[in-house]
Amino acid sequence: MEKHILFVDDSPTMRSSVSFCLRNAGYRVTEAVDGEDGVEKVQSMEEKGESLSLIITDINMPKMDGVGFISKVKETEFKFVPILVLTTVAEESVIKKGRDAGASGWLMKPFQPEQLLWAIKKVVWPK
Amino acid sequence: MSADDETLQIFFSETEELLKLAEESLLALESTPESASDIEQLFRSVHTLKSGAGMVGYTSISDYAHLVENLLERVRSGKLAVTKNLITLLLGSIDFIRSMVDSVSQGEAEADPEVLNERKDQIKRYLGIDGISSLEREEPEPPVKEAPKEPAQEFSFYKIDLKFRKEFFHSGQDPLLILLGLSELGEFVEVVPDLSELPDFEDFSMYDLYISWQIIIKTEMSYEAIEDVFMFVKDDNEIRIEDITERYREGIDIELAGKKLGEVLVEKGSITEEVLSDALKKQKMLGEILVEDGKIQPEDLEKVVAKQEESRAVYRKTTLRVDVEKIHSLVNLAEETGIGLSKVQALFEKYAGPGQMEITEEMENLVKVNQEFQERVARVRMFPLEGTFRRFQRMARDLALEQNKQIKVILTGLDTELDKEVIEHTTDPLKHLVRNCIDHGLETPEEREAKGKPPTGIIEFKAYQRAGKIFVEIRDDGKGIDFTGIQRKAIEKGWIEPDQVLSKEALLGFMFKPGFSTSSKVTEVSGRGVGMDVVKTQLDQLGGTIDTHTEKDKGTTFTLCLPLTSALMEVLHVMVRGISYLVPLQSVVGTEKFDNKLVKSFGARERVYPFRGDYLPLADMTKILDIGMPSANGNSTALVFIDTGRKAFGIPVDEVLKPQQIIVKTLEKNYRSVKGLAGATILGDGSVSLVLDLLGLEEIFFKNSFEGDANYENEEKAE
Ligand SMILES: [Mg+2]
Repeated sequence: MEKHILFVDDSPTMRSSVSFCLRNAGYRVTEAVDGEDGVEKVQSMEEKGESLSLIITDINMPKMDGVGFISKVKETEFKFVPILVLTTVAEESVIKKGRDAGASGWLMKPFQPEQLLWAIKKVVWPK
Repeated sequence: MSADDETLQIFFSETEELLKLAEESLLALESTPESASDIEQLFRSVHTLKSGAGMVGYTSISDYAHLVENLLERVRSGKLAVTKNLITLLLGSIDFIRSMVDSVSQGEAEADPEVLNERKDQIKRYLGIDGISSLEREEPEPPVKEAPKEPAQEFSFYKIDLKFRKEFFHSGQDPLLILLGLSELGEFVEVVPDLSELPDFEDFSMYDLYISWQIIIKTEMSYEAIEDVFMFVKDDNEIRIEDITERYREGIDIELAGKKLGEVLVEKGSITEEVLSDALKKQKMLGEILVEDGKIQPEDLEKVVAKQEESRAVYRKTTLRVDVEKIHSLVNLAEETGIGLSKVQALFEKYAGPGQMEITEEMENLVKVNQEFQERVARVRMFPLEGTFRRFQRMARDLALEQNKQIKVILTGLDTELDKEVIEHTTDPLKHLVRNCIDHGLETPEEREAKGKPPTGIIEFKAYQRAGKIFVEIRDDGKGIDFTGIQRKAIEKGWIEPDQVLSKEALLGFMFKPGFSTSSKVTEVSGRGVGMDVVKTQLDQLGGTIDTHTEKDKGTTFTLCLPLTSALMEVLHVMVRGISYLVPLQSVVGTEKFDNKLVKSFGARERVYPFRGDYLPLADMTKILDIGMPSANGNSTALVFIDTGRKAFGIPVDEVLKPQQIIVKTLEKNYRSVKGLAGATILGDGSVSLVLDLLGLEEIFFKNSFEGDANYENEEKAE
């Protein structure tokens, strides 16, 4: 079965390029535009009994940031789903915050498709 | 990132939006320079723009925006004030970014390199020396690297210790994925999982990780490539990677590499084993002398000893790993041959035909040779107790230290060898005994001095072989066992009447009863919610015994008597409804003729029988094997009384035959595991007999009545 990834980022460019890459790699992608939207998407997946193999989330977002979003995910049945956080060099301290919240790994923007897939391989079982 | 057309279009419209937002914020800041929300919006716009440009591959835009972002970070953190000049500069930056975006949208280059550098310098000047140096520090090598593809020149061997956090799964991580990633880099030479942290079943959580690993990998990859596998986990877990190529060179046997100089010298015939073991003994003494003279810190010596032990453990594993199963079957066969021989010998004793003298003599020789054969084969599977003792030496020291007590640990008989399986099953009992010695036996230095004893207490571990058994002694010179304490506890538990007078032996027996512990601390320290009863249970399973000798203020000695191997067992042969059973002899407390009139019933099904002043419940064997026979004891002629240490009961049987020595074959291998049956064996007449597992039986029959025998007395009085 297709593996399902939830991608949360406030930048349309990021959403478009990352989803493009993930779909090319054979993943099914659900997008969310910020932390709040992410929580709603997670809750609706929970209700529908959908599966989720990975969450990729930006940290710096309006409304609810990535750290807040992760702690909400940890309250759902998806709490053991691996989470990759997207950050930039300027926000290196954010990595620790993400990890403390329960993230599994991180990726520095901007990145190449191979780097994205390389990071995913570290936390998601191959198909 | 590959920018498909759609993404590019999205990038352009998003950038337009972001630039508009940035401009709005800047204009707002002109009138309210402190407005945090405007600073935040400005920062996020530039930050998002930078990432987006990077993703679609416009590196000049991304680089320039990055500089602006840095400047804004200084504003955001209050290091730089919002001035008219700054706003002018930033508005110029926004315009410049817009011009670059316009250029690329028309298929032109982002910017003239010279102009770009000029613009960058402008921002850098504003950032100041401080800002630039912090900027440089913030631009390390790209943090996500592809796994280096260039192989190192030759193969390397790395030893990798993986000890993950217990909460590992809670971060969405999976140790097996990491092992998978590692396995792609080379070939695993050795994988040793450490299961020692696994808790008891009732304390086990499926969401926690208890296993750690030690892996040796042979790879062409560099150290960095190995390290990369652990990129996401190395900061909050204990990951150690060690290049051990020097020790594991190509072409040299790994097992040989694990061997020590002394062993190699013996193998090469340079020295004999005696010379080596003498020298090693001196070495040990050397360590102790050095500590006593203050030439080396005990901690340092311990470290070395621990290292040595570690390497020995590895050595043992590597040499045994190959054929331990084969050795097991050899041991069993040798023992079976022995038993067969003694049976034939017994037959010939009755034989009175020609050549009787010669036959008897030859048989005797044969039996002797076989005995030696058995012993030699059994030896293959035996190890010196040294490793076990060293472990407890450390444990004793640590425990004493925790409680501010001083001890000296003496180890004797380190060379005494014991069957691997027996050693493994003895570890737990020893652990509890050592804890008992330190917790309850040993006094504090002050208490000791008040009694006129030296402030430092002594714990001695001693092992020796005598009459085909191994003896392990744990002796302390502490305060001795508190008999009044035991008595009080036994009364509290309702095991005895307050005015009952009991022998010291009987009182000591309570110590090994489940539910007994003179202080709740024992269970805390042992961490398993059990006390000394584990000692007895484990020893019973092994066919061992424990003897306690204690004297007030002189100390306590526990003496464990262990079988040389775990496979031999003394049993009593009984028959029930035509089925032959073997009852482990060490738990049999007596046999009696069965008198149906003495049976008393109470409750729905429970029936009891008087034995030595108590009423003991009866366990009906016909119930556990569904053989369709009536369960009444109409035919029973005898009773075998059992005491497992936790519970005493009687088994009605049809016939009691002779005690024997047997080799137990576990049922699991040939059949599914059956509760209440420890295994099966083939008797001299070729028939199969079932060996009872008394602890299992006890659970089957008396699951709900572990309150002890006193209850039966009470019930009896109430009737
Ligand atoms: Mg963002």
